Amino acid sequence: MRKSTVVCALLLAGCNRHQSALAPFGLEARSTLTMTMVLVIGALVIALGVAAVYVLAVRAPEGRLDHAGGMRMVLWLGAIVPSVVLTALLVWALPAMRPLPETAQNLRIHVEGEQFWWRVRYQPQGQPPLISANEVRIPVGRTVVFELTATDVIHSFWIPGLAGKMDMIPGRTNRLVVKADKAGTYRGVCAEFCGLSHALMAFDVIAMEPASFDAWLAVSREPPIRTQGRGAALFAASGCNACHSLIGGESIGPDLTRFGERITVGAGILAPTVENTAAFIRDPHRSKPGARMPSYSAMPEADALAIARWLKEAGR
Amino acid sequence: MSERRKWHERLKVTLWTLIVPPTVWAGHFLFAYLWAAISCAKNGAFAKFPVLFTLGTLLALGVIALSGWVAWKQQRTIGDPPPHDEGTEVDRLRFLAKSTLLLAGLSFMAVLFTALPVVFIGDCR
Repeated sequence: MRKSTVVCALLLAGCNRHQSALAPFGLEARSTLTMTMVLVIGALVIALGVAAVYVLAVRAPEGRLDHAGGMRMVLWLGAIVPSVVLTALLVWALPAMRPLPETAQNLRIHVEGEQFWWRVRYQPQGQPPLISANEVRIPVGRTVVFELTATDVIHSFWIPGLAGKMDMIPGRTNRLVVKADKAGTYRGVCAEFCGLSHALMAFDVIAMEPASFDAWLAVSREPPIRTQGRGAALFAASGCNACHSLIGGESIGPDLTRFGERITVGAGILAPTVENTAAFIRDPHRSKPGARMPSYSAMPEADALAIARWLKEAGR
Repeated sequence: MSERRKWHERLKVTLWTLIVPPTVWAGHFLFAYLWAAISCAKNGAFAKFPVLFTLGTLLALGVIALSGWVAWKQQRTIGDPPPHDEGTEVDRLRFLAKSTLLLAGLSFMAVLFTALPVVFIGDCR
C-alpha cells in the first residue's frame, strides 16, 4: 500500500498543464488525445474481455466446449473482429494525419534549431520579419505555419500541448501547420538528441488572443528604448554584441532585443532573474554544458549584474 | 474419388503458389510507395484518387482473393486417416493450402491498409 502510494505520487509528479500532450491547447494535440483515450479504453475493454473468456473456458464443465466451437471463436475473435476494428480505427485516424489546410496569408514562423537554442523569425504576410529567440508567440484561432530547419545537427521541434513533433534537419525545411485554441503559457522542447545540453534545450510558447498578438507584433517591431549606462558600455566593451543582436538583426547567438520580455533565461531553463542572467554570462556551461558561448569567468560579478540589469530593462 | 484427384491436379497448391499472396502484397506496396514518391517529386502534388492506383489495388486484391479461394477449396481435401506416422501427399497439400489461405487473408488486409492512406491523406508533406 505504501509502495503503491509512492509510485502513484511519482507518476502524478509528471502531471502538468504547460508541457503535456494530455493538456492540449491546439487542434492536433486535442484529436491525438481523443484517439489516445479511445485506444486506451478500447484496449482495456478487450483485455478484460479476453480475461473473462479465459476464466469461462477454464471453469466450463467438461463436455461443454468442443473443438469446432473453439475454432469458430478463433476465426471470429482472432481474425475477423480484429480486422474490422483495425480497419475502422485506420479510417477514423487517417484524416487526422492530414496536415491542416493553409493559405499564403497565414503567419509563417521560421524556427532554426542550434546547439542549444532556437532562432525564431516571424514572417507575417506583407510585413517585415521580426527576429527573436527561445520564445514563440502564436495567435489563438489562427492557422500558423512553422518552417523548421537546423544549422548544425538534427533537432526536433516539439510543443506537446499543440501538435506532434517535427524534425529540424540541416539543409531542409520541414513545415508544421498548427492552430492553437486556448490562450496560455506553454513550453516546447527539443525531441531529438542533439548534444550535451539536449535536455536543456527548451523554449516558451505563448498562445495569445489574436488582438493582443497583433498589438505585440506591432510594438515589438519598434526598437526598445535603452539607457546608455554602465551596462551598455560593459556590453560593448566585453564584445557581447559580436554575437548578440540588440536591434533584431541577424546574429550568431540568440537575439536579445526584447530580452526583458522573456519568461525564461538560457532557452527555457532558468527563471528570468537578474542574478540568473549574470550567472549565465559568467559561466554559461554550468547551466548549459556544451553551449557555444564562451565563459566570462574573469568578469567581476558586479559587471555581469550591471549587464543583466541593463538587458532586462529593455522590452518591458 | 478419381474426379477429386483430377481437381487437385489441375489447381495444385505448391510452395510457389504459397508465395503468390505475399508477393502481390509486396508488389502493391512498392508500387504505391514509388508511385506516391514519384508523383510528389515530379508533379509536386498528389493525384487525387487516381484511376491507375484504384485499378492496381483492385487487381492486387483480386489476385489475392483468387489464390485464397483456390487454397480454400484445396484445404477441404479429406485428410488421410490416423495414425499420422509419416507425411503423405495429401498432408502436404492440406498444409500448403491452409498456409496459403492464411497468407491470403493477411495479404488482403495488408493491401487494404496500404491503400487506405492514399485515399485519406493525399498530401505530399
